[in-house]
Amino acid sequence: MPETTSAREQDHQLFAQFVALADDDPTKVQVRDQLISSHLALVGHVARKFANRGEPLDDLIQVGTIGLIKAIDRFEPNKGFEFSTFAMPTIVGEIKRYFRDKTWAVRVPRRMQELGAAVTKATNELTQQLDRSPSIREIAEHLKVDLDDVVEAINANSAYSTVSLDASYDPDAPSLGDRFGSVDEALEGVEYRESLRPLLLALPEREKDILVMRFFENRSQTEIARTLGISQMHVSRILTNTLTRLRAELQS
Amino acid sequence: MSNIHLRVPAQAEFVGLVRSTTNSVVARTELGIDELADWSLAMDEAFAIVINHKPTSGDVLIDYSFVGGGIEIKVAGPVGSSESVLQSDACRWAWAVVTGSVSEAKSDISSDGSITLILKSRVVASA
Repeated sequence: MPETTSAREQDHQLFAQFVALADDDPTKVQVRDQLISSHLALVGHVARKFANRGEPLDDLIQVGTIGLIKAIDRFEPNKGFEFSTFAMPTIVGEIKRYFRDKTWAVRVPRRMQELGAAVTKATNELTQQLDRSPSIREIAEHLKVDLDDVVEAINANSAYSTVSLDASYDPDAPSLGDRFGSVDEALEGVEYRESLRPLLLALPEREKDILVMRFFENRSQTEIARTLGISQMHVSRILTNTLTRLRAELQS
Repeated sequence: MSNIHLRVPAQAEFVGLVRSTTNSVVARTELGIDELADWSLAMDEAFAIVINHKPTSGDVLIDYSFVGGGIEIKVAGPVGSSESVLQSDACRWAWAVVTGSVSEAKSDISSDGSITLILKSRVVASA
């Protein structure tokens, strides 16, 4: 990212040169390479914001660089915008698209992924508005879609990878133990035989937190979502995955 | 609205079918989306309970009834189960999840070893 006035001027000159060159001019490729190199720091800056979400930083930089190249090709310097302002949404968009495509455990049509996101958003809005969890009919009416499409989106949502679920959990947020006392103590009170307790205690902290809130503190999924700052659908998926794994381990 | 009946083989691979059918049915009640998610969890575990003795044959019968804006679901497994199966850690934990996910839950084991679970949601006031 150009930081000094002279670097900015040089950048403007490079862009002016890049735009003026014909597409078949071999110099154009070299100028573009120079522009890519001089803005790679911007990609690194954006990619680091998406780090800790289960994908290697190098991969994110690679994907973000595709966004940078698209932005360079589309940029019109005579419109007066700073390139970084113009490029940022394209780079972010490319990385988000990568997450959307990459983090589905099974292939879910794009239309259904987008509807899933819309259902999550509508659920949050209606929960605020109604001060209760909305029914599926209310969500369908809000989105002006068929009730069965909402159900299909909910079913498809369960195909979302747990990697991204874990990543969406704010690592800086205080742990449940900080807020409610020891989670392990709550689980120590479980009255089942020895085979269950070690499995519960061995769960990753995030899963243990959610399990305790739902089944030991009797909180609703919506309340848990509010407490943790994640969506109710994320809570639902984490619970489904945790219980499925526990069931398999108990039956093995 | 008429009741809905589902009959599936008593094998774990059919739990996904039961879950998605339950979602479709519960979506037609006045229950909230987080309750629908709870029912999904409850039915996963209920299905696991009624086939916990790992039968190689037989079916699970599921009856869905719409009651007062909510839902009542009866899950009946094949014959051959026993009290000892119900007392296993896997079943006890599954039952804890079921009872924690729905408003009311009852279990019954018949003399032929068929487990029946009756699960009820809350009645929705506005219905």
